[in-house]
Amino acid sequence: MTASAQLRFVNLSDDGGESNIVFFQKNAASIHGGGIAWRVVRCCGYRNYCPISYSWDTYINMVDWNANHSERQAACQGNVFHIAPQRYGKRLSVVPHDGFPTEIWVQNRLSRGAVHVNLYRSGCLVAQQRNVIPEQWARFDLPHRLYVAVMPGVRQGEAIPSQFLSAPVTEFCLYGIVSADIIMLGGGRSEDAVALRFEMTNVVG
Amino acid sequence: MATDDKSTNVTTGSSAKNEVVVSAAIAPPTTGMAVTTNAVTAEPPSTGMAVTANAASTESAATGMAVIPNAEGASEPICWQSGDWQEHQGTVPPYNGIEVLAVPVYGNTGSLESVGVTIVDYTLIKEGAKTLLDFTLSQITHEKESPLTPKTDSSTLDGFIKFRLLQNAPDHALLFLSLTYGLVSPSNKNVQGCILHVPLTAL
Repeated sequence: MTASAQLRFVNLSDDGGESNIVFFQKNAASIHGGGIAWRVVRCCGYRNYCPISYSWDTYINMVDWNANHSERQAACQGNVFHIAPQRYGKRLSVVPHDGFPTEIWVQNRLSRGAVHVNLYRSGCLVAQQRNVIPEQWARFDLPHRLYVAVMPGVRQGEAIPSQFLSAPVTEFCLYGIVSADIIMLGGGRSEDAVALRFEMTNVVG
Repeated sequence: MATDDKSTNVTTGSSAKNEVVVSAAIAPPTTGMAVTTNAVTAEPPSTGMAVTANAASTESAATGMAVIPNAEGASEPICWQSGDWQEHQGTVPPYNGIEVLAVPVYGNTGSLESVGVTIVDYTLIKEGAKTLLDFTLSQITHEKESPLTPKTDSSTLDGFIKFRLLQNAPDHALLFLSLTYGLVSPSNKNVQGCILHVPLTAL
């Protein structure tokens, strides 16, 4: 098994390179269905491409109320983490408990203070649970599905605004894929202009 | 090979209603949990019954080997659900997303003979509109596309599916789909990619 799927976003559209293309994943354990702009492609001209490495592995860390980040740790499906106090500050550590096999669980075991829990893929923020208060659990379930849509103004690492959640989105299933191109088609400026759309091609499994 | 967490085995011959139950079983455990809007729960999730109940399906998802032929050569179907799948159906269209079920059939020698693929579209019909396709071994090895019927009164599927052979694992075939479904544009859904795999020989 390769450590990541090598994807290429290729712009074959007539958008003038002006589109803000957002790649994101949905946390199936989250009931509000929002997401984080995992990768954002901007100013990609016609026939240009942007490589996107999709790592099968994820890493986790926490951010406390003073904006201190803990070290990132590998987080696999089924892992359970605790955020606990230590002599100076607090630590995030995996514990030998069986969690739900498709999910990553994190519990805030501090006596007081909320934390944010971040999940990273290929070095970029892909999911986040904010304000996890003591005794609460944050849950992450990210199937290997990548969503792409045009979302003006959205920046990498930011939460996707709610107005985009009902926008047309293309879902790409990466199961077993080693490499693939995701091409953008459509666009235009005249009466022949059509909506931008995305297709997966050159799939190597 | 990466595994899709939502692919799992379901019981052969299950009705559409039963399939919904199965999908609920692989969903995050919610029993006894106080889930807030940011999916943070105040109760420990370690004792949920759903965890224990799903040990088998989880194992298959973790290994990616979800196909276990039975004595007659037909296997337990492999189930995949679209990203907009909901544990509980809606009350108005679209009632739910789509499900894809694949049933490999192996011969006496253990080699794959065919794969029956059922795509169930829950957009307009609560019970689901089924589209049945049968892939012979020749169609699989030649990566022949099977177009899906254009949109009808009951099904909204439009696109194609086919099997792709893996370069890194030549003894497996991936089911690749490219289709749109759902209510009319722009709220319809577009899903593409590889969703599940089938071993070319029985395990």
